[in-house]
Amino acid sequence: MTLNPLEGGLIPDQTDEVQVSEVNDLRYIAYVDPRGPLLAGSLMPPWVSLIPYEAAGEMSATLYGHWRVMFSGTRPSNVTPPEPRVPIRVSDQRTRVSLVAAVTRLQELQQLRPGWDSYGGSPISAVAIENSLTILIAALAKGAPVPAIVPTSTGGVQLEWHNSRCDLELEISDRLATAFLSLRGDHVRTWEGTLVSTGWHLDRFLNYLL
Amino acid sequence: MPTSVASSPQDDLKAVPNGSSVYRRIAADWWIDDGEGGRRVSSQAFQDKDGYMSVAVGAVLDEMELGPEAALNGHEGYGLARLDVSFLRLTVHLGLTCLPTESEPWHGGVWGKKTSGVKNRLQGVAEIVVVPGNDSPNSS
Repeated sequence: MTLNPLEGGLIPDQTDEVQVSEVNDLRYIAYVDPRGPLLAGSLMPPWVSLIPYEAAGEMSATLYGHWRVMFSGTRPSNVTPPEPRVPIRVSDQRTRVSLVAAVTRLQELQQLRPGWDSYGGSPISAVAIENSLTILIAALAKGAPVPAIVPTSTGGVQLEWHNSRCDLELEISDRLATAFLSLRGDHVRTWEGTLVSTGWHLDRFLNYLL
Repeated sequence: MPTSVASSPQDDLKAVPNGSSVYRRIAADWWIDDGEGGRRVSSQAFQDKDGYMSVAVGAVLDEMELGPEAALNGHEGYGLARLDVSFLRLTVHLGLTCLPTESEPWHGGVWGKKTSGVKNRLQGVAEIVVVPGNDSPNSS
């Protein structure tokens, strides 16, 4: 079976074969579990599907540089995939759905052209996308909702959560992530700094949000 | 007495006077859910590029008898936010100058470091004049 992202609606019926397709010089690979996908979708490229991973219902997924996203189930013995750059493991349906929405948005950002902001904005770097995905996965796994995912003019990504209690923004570039937290209410407070140098972990920021 | 960067070469009180406005184009990608059922502009709409934040200078637009929407000519799908020059200069301590180009004679720059806190303050006071569309022509 050939996976063609341009045709859509791809839900393999039953197979444990590796699926490979080349479309417009881009290669799409999917590992299909005989139990069939829990959720599949056709996104204008790349094609993304979520496929069950082992009996526990966990999944793994891998981001392969520009354009390529692969979610894998059990690995066929006859294929050795490249080493994952952003390993993903999620175990619940809500997180899976959130992850698809987030990955879709990141893919949109990766398509932005130079000058996309009308002020000479840089294209979004693949490394910043990968760094964002890593942080997103951690946040979603802890119960955070899908944030607003916006491009920065310098080629980075900003994740934003806003609710009645606080505003939380994580600005992510090739090299580092900075955080901005603003607490609302009677005692308005703001805090900003780099995630690494302060010793503040993502959990502590998310505690204000959730 | 509020301070400003008035003595800096990167602030021109005469060309960009207090009490006037500047306008910033807003890409559709910066128009986001506010978490409470509405929409808001992202703080990233107020980021520097090459050391300053580009704007359209309202005083120059006025001299040319143009409305602020002139800043959107050739930029379909973008929104427009208004910022008060007095707030930028006296409250956030940023400098403003005219930086005219051939295609945008009303072009100007807002100088001074845009920390996350500053960007959020600008986001908080920006008045949306034109809501961004959903079909930015620069998104392939």
